[in-house]
Amino acid sequence: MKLKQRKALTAVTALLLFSVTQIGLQIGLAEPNSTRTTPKLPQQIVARLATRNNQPITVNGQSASTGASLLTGMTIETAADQSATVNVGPLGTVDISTNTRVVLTFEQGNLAAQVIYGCVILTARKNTTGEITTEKGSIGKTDPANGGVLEMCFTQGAAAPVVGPGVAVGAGAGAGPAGAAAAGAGGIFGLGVPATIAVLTAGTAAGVTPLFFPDDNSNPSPATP
Amino acid sequence: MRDAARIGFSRLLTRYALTTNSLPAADQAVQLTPADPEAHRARALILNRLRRPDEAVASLELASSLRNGSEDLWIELGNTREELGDSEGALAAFDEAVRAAPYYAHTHWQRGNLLLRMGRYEQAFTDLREAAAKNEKYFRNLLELAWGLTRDAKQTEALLQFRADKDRLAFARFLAQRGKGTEVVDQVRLLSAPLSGENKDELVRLLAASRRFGEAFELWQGRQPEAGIVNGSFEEPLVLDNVIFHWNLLQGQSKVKLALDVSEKARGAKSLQVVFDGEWAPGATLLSQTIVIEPGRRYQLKFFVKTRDLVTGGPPQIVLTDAINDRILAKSDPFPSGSGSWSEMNVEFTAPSQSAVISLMRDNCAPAPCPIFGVVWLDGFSLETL
Repeated sequence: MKLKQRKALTAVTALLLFSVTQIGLQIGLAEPNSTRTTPKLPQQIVARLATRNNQPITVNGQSASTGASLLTGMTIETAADQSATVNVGPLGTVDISTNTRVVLTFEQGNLAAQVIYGCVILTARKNTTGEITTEKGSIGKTDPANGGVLEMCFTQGAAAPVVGPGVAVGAGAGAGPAGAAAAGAGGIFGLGVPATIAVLTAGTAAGVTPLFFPDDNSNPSPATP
Repeated sequence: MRDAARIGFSRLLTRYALTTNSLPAADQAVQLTPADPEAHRARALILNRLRRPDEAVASLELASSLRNGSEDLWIELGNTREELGDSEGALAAFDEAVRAAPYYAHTHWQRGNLLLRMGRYEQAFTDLREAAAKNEKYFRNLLELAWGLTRDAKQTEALLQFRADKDRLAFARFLAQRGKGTEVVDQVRLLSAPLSGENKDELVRLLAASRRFGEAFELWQGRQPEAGIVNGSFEEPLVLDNVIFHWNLLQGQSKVKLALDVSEKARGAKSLQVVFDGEWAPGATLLSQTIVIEPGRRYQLKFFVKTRDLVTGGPPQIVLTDAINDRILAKSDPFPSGSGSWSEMNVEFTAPSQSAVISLMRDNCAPAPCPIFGVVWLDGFSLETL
């Protein structure tokens, strides 16, 4: 009897030990990812991209749209129907028009746009020196005591950049709307907006039209729930 | 029936408002169907386009309260709140977006980007990695962000936490494009499976293009670089595919013919025969090979040359240049004119960097054009340390 009890006790102990080892093993296997730690990095200024109608543009050769983060030294490129605004937090903003290629560099107190081609508006806040350069040299600098705005266009093939208020706004710089649609002007058949609304409200059949949101991401993710 | 008509009118107005950026039309739609979240969302969208985010937020919050569970609405709300400088409010909205669509990549991507801007790097990269794991289109952007923050391969690797060889290989490619030779070799060593020939060739090409010849050689041969010449006696076939560390031949020279010759040789069983029939643009490299060397060391390049009926005002010669900056390091004597038997030539040079290029070139002659006729044989290229 005693022998039987001892054997049973040994078996139970062995089973317990085995179970504990298994649990330990499972934890061990689950661990590699969780034990990896992110390196401690110094805090840096990270800019935010906003694109017109959330349309993707190109940042360092990769597609990026509203909400993307930009770091100093990145190259931003827009095509014919794309424009964007880069918000560099405490330093200011850079509005980028269509058909533009620009390298943005920034650090505490400095915000610079090196325009390869295209149009930009650089708005530097107080305590920041804003500067726009091209291959021809510096277009100008803002006074950190007051902040300021620099606006320029240097289109491909142009002999020299054009500088001054309005030159880049006309080219559609920024993530805001462009062209006539910006002001909500127009209306069908030139009726004007109020008349158009009236016509639509009064004259349309009662079918439920499916909505479309042009700003939606067409393919948010191929992952399936 | 009346409700259906009202919804129909509202949707039509909304569509019109979105197309024309018409706020009055959007307002009218909201008035018609105040409980329709799409009408509020459209209004918010137009307000955002008109750069009136403070008003857009109210519409988006209303739309979110009317339709729970749409991640797109939460993302729009998050983006608009951040636009207004309300990072915590934006984070709350992105949290809701992730809750609504936890398996989608873009919800994690948006929240990760916000966290990055908030300086919460650890949380940010958890989300960004999650997004890239769910949708690989984000991987390259993730790489750019990690590299942009650290400018260091080890730290970038720590941020990215690779789970698959393909990601590590993408990182190695990224580093190669930035001329980070040692780091590329380190990453390749960490791959769980050997590099395929195609991937190896690509990395070697990228490293060579960045002028990291030592590491390119190491990757190519799988061992530490050793000074030497590949196929120096032309015993092996010539590769015409612009392969680095092999003999490269200038293509498209119809008046110059290069061939391996078994009847003439100074070393081994073959030599390289070059037949000139009038044209060879001075300055153009007819034959070249990039070699790895040890910076600061002095070397002697030896080779054999034979000529037959060589007539020109600008005779060929072997030129050594620094592969990093194309600076000329040394030149051999011009090849003898007329006809002659095999003669040994040598060139001494000090290695300024880790690689040099041996080139068959010629100087221009005073009256242009500068024709060249005859045959040259080359053989027995070797490199010795002095």
